[in-house]
Amino acid sequence: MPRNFRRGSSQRGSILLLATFSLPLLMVPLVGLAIDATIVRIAQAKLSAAADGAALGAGRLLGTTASTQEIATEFVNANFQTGSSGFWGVTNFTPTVTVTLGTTKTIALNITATVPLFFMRILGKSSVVISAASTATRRDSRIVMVIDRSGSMSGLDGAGSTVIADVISYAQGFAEKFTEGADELGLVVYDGSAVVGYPTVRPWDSTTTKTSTGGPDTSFYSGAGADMIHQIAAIKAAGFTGMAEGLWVAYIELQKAHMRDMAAGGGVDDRTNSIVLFTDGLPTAVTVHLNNTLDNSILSTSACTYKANDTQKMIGWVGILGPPFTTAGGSNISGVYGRASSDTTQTAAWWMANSWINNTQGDSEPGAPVPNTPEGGCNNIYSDYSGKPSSNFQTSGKTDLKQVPNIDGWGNSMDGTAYTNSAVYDSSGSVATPYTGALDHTQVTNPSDWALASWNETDTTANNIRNDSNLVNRAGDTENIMPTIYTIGYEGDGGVDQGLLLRIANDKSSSSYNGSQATGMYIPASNTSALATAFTTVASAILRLSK
Amino acid sequence: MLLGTIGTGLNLVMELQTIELARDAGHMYARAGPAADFSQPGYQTLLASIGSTLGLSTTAGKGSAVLILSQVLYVDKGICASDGKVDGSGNPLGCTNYGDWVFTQRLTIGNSSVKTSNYGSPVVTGKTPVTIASNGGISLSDQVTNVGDVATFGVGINPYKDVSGVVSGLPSGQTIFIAEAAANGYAMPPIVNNPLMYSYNMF
Repeated sequence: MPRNFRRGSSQRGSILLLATFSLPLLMVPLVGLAIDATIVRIAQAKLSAAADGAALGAGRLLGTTASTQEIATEFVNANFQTGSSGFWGVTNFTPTVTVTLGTTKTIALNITATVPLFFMRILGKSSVVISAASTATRRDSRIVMVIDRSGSMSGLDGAGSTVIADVISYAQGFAEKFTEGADELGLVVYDGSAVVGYPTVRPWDSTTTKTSTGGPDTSFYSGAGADMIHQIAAIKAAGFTGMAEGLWVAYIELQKAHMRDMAAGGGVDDRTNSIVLFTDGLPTAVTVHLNNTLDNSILSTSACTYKANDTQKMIGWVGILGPPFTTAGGSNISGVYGRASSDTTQTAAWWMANSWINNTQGDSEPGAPVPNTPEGGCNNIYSDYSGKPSSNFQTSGKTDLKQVPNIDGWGNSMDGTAYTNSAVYDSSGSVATPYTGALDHTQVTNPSDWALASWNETDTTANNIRNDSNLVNRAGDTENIMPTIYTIGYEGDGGVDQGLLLRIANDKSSSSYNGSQATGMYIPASNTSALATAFTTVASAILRLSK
Repeated sequence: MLLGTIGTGLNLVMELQTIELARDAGHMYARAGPAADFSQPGYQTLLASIGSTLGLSTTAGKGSAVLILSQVLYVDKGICASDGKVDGSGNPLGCTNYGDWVFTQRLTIGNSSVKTSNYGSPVVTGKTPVTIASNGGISLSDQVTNVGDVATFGVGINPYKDVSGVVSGLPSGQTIFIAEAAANGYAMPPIVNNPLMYSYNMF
């Protein structure tokens, strides 16, 4: 035992010695490997981030005259600054940029770089090559601007100009942010009725086939006297606010361009579709199809022979003199007028400079009576201001209508209780709720019931657009164009209905937000400066989304 | 040595996390559009969860990290015209910030005392302060005429600056989205005091 004890005692400390000498030989390389690996990983992460940033940053410019390859390289260099602290002495930094053009444009970046190693040099490995790749695409845009040119737009903006003058300037600036020759833009303006301002094809074609004429195009900023910039400049303000028809005509325009481009592209159309709606007020007009056999709104006792004759359609629009839409009786309801888009005689430029009301106050008839050949028996349905088929609503109880229609002139529902989501904000931030009570379709001379129907019409029109509800009627097409709607509300003219505009846009904060539809955005503007910001914000959002 | 190794390792990992936070947040910020408003609490909670290991908090002034999101715009003739700051020929007139990069949005999430932006900040004090709305937005008027809104955005960190003459030749309204992330690192006094992890990314 003592011998054994002595032998054990002589070996005591050997493990400690072994550990002491092996620590530098084992632990240092291991720790060094870990540190080198982490540094390489950091450099790799920064390289990937730089490639990502460059792809998205330069990708926004795809399709413009800018050199996206050059700008992508600059983005990479700005994001990954070799030679600066934090970039671990990376060398041989080599970005390669490849751009592919077409309707869907692609930019692809591949970057390689050499990262020096600190500890692994001991094992003969002095550096390692890393690489990163990123790709971004930009889809060209297709946009229809829908501009409210109702009478209130003639009001002063509080900064020495008028609201319509401001909007003209901001809308032109908006259009100029897009790329002529690549993006497609169109223009619709509306008072009581909507009309296409650009392209200037007349008569307007309401069909949505591949051979339909019109639709947003890429020549919107060509410098020609009839380009979109000039057409915007010609807009004059007067009349009611037919917001729903403005949206629907814009939707038709989008579809026409989609069908045209799809045919030209061999069945492929990659563009994003957007509608940008500007308004300074509440809907005060509805479109009607009074002898729609699905929803006949004319009394059977009427002397009008068209009361159930859908072959000669009684399509037009009705204006409501409001808000606040509370006056009972017919004095606050205009009669039925012809749609501006149905006119076959005047040019697009004429319609920019003349609203429907301008025209009815003069003697010239734009060629859109209701129906095409008015007859005396319908006098208790039609109305206008100046000696056209005589007034009806203006004299309470003299109308031949039996109901406020359930369906509008474009087939969109005007029924329901969506109007309960109304919330009218003015520029001071105060809220009013002008819509009260239930919608009673039988109260044809009551302005508030027409106003409720108008609210519903606008709401369902926007929802149908976002659903691309007309897809089933587009022969040979199975592609939902998924329009995104942006709304801008100028609150300085007595207020706008924020509840409605949020819903039209399918804004995230809308009371009816639908995640399966395109998410748009509502931007309120309390003054002209905010209005300018709103237009640039929407342009920026579309350019972002088009990637 | 062991403690030093652990500390260094932790800081390297935190640096990696900071890079990824700036990249992920910036990518979403630049790309999402109206589908994601990062001024809203829900989206800030999402960002905070990405940066949770760094100590990013949705509560202003709290936590050990900060995320700064900026949108900057090049003020060209078209932008001047949008604000009516041009003469009859369309040339800038009273367009104070013409030729500069200005902030159009600034969002700060987390503890702003950790680090300020390398790109400067809108000046919100003084006689003509820049007004930053609740969603981080800055009015066109401030962008065009308020010198307090000009970003510090010079050669080297400006991806457009070194490209010969392109800024004036590009479509109006050129915008860059910037994400900056910073976090307090693992301190090992007296060897390493107040280490700061910082990363930025431009989109």
